[in-house]
Amino acid sequence: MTLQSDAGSRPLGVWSLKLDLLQSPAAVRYGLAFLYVCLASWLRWILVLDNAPFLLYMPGMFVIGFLLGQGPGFAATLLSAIASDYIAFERKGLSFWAPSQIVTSILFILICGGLVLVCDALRTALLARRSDLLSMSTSNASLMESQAALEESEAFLRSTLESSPDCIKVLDLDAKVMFMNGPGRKAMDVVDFGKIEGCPWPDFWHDEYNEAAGVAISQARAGITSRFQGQCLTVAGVAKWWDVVVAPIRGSDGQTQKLLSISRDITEQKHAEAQQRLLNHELAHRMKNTLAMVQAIANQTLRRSGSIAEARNAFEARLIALGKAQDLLIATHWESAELHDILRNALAPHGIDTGRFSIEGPDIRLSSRCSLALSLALHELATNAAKYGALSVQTGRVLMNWTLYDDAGLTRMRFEWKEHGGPAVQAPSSTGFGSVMIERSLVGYFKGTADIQYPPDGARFVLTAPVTRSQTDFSSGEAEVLAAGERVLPTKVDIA
Amino acid sequence: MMQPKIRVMIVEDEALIAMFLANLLQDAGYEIVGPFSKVETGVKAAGTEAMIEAALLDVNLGRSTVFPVADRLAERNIPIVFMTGYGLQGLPEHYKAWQVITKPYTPSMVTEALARILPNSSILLQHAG
Repeated sequence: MTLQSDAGSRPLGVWSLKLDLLQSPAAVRYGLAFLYVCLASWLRWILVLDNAPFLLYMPGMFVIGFLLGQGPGFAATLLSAIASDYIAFERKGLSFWAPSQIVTSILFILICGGLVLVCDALRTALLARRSDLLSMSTSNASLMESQAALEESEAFLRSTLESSPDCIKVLDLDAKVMFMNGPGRKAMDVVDFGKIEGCPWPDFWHDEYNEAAGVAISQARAGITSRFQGQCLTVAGVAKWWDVVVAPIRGSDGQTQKLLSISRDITEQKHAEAQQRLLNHELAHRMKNTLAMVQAIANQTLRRSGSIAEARNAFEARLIALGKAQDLLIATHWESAELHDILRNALAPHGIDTGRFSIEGPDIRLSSRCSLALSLALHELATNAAKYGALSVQTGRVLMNWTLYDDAGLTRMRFEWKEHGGPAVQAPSSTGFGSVMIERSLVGYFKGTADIQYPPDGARFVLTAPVTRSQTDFSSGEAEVLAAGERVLPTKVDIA
Repeated sequence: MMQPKIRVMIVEDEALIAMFLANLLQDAGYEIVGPFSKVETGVKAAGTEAMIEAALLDVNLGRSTVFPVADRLAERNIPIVFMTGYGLQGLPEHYKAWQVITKPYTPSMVTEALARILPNSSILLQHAG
């Protein structure tokens, strides 16, 4: 309730105080009229107002007629005429039935009766006005109330619209944009809504999405809610993906009057989906490649083994070496592995912790394929060393070191495996899987050179490869990374 | 007089697999051109190597695809066998008519695919038989 209705009710309060006497029982009203006549007669008696016999009666008639109604008014008039005549008879000895006396009384009765009628009519009029005022003020109050409710519900709707992170638009039946909520404007980079107000909404969409938007609009016009996903540029030209619902807004007659479009920004979700697809694709590719690699290893092992038993043992050992090398790569999502880690991992089955290996060199990351290839090569070197070389006797040792050097402005790595302290070495008579792996395969992966020599004091293997300096490292967060062989690059995702 | 061997080009970036492939083709009596592991060297060889009669191409070469090499070979009307871990879905429409073998493959899958694309395959099969 507002201030205005308060102001309206105050005069009504006064009216009701006066006019409420009418609601009293008839006995009270007649009693009051009788009391008044008595009072006036008594005053007339003691004040001796013989020249104005009706003076004290007249004013009362107004009040009685007005406040107590017609009946008490007429009764008081009659009583007053009788009382006045009686007093005149008592005082002056005038005859009760004297013609002048009767005429005067009749005149008094007529005048006062008229007054009572007028006052009663006035009261009726006032009552009617009061009820008018009352009903007006009631309707006014209900109007105010409904307006306040409307404002409240509007404020609620607005705050709901503004709280939603979705882009909410109201379109007219021609699909022209009439309204867009604040977060929606922000998401669509709309600085000045006036510039897009009235634009046809499907025009924001291109190609197949324009078609989808058109279909959604026709559906909504027909009273059907529909949904589609599409890509659309923001006003600033940023491509975003949206999940869109278009629905009819119905009037009280049930007819579609406007259209509602709610778009949710699903760009991040789409990116994640694309990333996932890419990862799945990569994984499938790697799995198939690994199988093909296992097949190649099996083929080479069988081709170069003297017996089935020898082939089986060698093949199993190589599969295990391959499996361990893959463990290392899983930690970096198949991107790369650090050289120290590769050595420790590959040589763990050959007693890396026995103090017979010496490892020295800077941190260098290898791509996943170089890591696998080097792990397999190290397995072959260590297996050979255990059979015929430095690791076949207690005194033998293997030294591994790698350095970076400059070659015509490009950085290269030189990795060396050197055995010493073992029995006198003889070059192998036939080309085994190890030397094929090292001399042909490794060169292919590292895009470098590989060489294995068998001087009498111990086998020596040298690998040289180009090194890339990369500024980005996704796995360790290091500022600069050295990567040997193929470039090690973070995965890039493009969404079509 | 010895019949000259059929020259087959190989592009495969996984060195171990390339080695395996080269071995099996040599065993089947082919002469190998390559193997090449990169698109650039593959494109160069596809343009310059004489007497290539067929090519075995691995579709995915690291982060790039082998299609520039295939385009160059197609210009010379050299038949192609694609090798892929993905199946047909990674291939552009105009290459889908060629032979595609999926990894891992058996030696006979490779030699049979080659025999199907070589014009004088019947002679070769007769010789092999």
